[in-house]
Amino acid sequence: MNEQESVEQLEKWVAETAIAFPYPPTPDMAPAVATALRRQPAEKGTTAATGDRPRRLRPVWVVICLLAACLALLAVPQVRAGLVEWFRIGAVRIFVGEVTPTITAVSADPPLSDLPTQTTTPMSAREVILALAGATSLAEAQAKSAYPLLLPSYPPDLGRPDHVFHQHQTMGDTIIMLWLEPDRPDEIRLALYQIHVPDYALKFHSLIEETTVNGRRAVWFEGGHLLQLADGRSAEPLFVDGNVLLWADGQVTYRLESHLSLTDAMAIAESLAPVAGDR
Amino acid sequence: MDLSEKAVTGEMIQEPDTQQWVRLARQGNEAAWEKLVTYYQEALFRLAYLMLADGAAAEEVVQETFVRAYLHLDRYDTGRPLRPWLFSITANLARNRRRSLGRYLEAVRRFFQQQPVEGMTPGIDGRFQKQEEARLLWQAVQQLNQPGREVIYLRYFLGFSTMETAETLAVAPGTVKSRTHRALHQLRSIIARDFPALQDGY
Repeated sequence: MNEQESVEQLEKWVAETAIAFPYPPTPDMAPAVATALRRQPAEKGTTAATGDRPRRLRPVWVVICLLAACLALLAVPQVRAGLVEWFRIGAVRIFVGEVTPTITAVSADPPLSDLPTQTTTPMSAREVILALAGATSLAEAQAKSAYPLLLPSYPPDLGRPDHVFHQHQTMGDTIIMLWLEPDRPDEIRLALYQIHVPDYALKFHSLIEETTVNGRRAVWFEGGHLLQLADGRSAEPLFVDGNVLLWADGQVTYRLESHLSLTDAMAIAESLAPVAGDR
Repeated sequence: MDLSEKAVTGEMIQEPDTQQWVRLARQGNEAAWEKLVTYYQEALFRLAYLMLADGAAAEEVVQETFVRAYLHLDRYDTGRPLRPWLFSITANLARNRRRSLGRYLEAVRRFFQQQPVEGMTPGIDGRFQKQEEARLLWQAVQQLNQPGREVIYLRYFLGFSTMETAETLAVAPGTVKSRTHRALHQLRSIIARDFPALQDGY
């Protein structure tokens, strides 16, 4: 089948499939429209019974409502943003816009745990480790996981992870591996997530950089940004204080969080190789 | 299929005299405008829903569409079809609404609460399976850019002709064709990369 035939076949399938889309029931809007129209002052060039007074008030009313809407949006503890576009990398949907996070940072991204979403002080590595669910060993995580675990071979002194977590979710699982700073064991040096679910999270950032990992599309988030878990277990977005490199390979989404530069993060990402033996 | 469904799909039937309704509405006939609202609301709601992923937001947008259309009936050229004019108002309002992050975030969160089907599994109920395919297709379409999404929604989800799509989007028919072609090419890549199970369908 040539290119043109392939697209024609896709078009035919799209046309047949799209019409089956399950829309929600359409509400009857006629009464609400009629009510809204009756509330309108002088319309279509006719003279209002009350004269010009409603017209003078309307711009102020509109401004007040817009201001109230803006204040309401600012009061939402997630973002002030002008959303531009969104796209997907594996299990993560990425929204790019002007984002000003308004919640306090936590020291690492702690999904699927009982960690509070907001805190006044950064959490130590110990606190993160104690709070994450599913603590296990590398060997057990490998045994439980439906796909091969990969470990970085760069930098040479990284070694095996200090802590491993296996978190089972409805549609799959997530493996989290943490490496601590060797001379500052209360700080997390690196966190590697291997995510095997269809929808893991939404990420929000004002500026991202697109790159590649082993030829696959990847996205680099530099600096603080928000992450909203997609499984509904965290009602509010989490603030991620580190830099994150995100990419997908087949059914697995990889998320590398650290304070490293993009160059170093990519070197680590491209050094991933299957685990050999037990910890 | 009743008249309102045909208003949704654009199927050629003996349509009611909507222009007569417009003429009466211009004279202040509320009942005529109510008929028009009832006739077009489902189609407009579906477009708004596709664009906003949220029923409540879609309802607000469509209500606003009818209010604005009524208030600006003097700007409507009765020599041109009514449906594209109404749809263009809805599309503009939905685009503006989507830029409001708070509401869109909320809609996206609710959308994710409906767990998608991880893979295509054979089902006893073929209709259910087709609906799930359509939902996954919609997710794939949402990865297109805005012009690409809109032509796909209008041409395939709502069954608009090329000409109607052009009038709704205020572009030339040739532009609709080129956007559609480009969108289908991109959609094919998106499906292959992120929704490989859908490839079984075609």
